[in-house]
Amino acid sequence: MSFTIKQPMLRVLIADDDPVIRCLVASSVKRAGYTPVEVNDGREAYRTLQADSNFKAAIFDMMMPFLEGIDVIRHMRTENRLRRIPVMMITSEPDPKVMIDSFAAGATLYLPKPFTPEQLHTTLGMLFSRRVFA
Amino acid sequence: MNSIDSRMSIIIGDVWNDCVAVAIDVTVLGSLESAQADGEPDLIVELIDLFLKDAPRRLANMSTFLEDGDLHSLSREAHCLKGSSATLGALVMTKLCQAVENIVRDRPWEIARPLSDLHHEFLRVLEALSAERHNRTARLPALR
Repeated sequence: MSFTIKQPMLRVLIADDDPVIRCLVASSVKRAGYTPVEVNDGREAYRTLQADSNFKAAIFDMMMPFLEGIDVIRHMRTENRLRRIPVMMITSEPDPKVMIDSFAAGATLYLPKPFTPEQLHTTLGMLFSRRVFA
Repeated sequence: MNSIDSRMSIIIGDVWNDCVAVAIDVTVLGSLESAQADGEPDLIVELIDLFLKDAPRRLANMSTFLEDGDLHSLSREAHCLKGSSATLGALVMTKLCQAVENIVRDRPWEIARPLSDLHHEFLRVLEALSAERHNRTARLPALR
C-alpha cells in the first residue's frame, strides 16, 4: 500500500518587471521544488501580499515600476503576518549603498545581477533555509 | 580633458573596442541550462523569446523618453535592459546600457550617440540570438 503525503503549498513570490530575469528565477525556484508566483512590479507584489501571506519566501527586484522592492520589504516588516517571510533582493545597481539600505529595510539576502544559475541556486538554498523572526 | 571627460572616454573606448567582439557570449548563454526545470519547455529558448519581445519595446520607450526629455525614465529602461542583456551574454549591449546610464547622469547632452549605438548593437544581438534559437530548436523536436 502506498501513501501520498500532501505537502503544504510552498510558494515563492517573485516580483520583477524584467521578464527574462523573472523567468530565470522562476525556473530555478521550480527546480528547487517550490512553486513560483510571478508578478510584474512592486505594486502587484504589494497587492498580492495584502490578499495572501502563504509564501515560503519572496524575491524582489530593487528597481520596479510603481513601488520599488525596498518599499515592499518595508511594508512587509510592519505586518505581523508578513514579517516571517524571508526576502531576497536582486539588483543590477552597483552602488553598495543599495545593499546596505536593503538590509536596513529588512532584506534577508542580496544578490547582485548579473548572476550565474549556480549563484542563484546557492542563494535560493540559503533563502529557503532561513526564517525571519520579528 | 577633465576627470569626467577622461572617464567617459574610457567607457566609450571600452565599448568600441568590444564592438569587434561577438554579440552574444555563448558560454554565458549556455550556462543558463543549469537552471532548467524538469518537464518544462527549453529555458534558453524561452529566455531568448522573452528578451526579443521585451528589448525592442524598451528601446522604443527610450527613444520616446529622449524625445520627451524624460531622462530619468530613459535611464531606468537602460538599467533594466542591462540586467537582461548581461544574463543572456550580450556583453557589448550590457556595456552600452551602462554607458547610457552613466551619460544620463554625467553628460546628458551627449545621450543621442550611445543610444543610437545601443539600437545598432541590438540588431547584432537579435541576429545572434535568433541563430542560437534556431540551432536549439533544431535539436529539440518538440519545439519545431
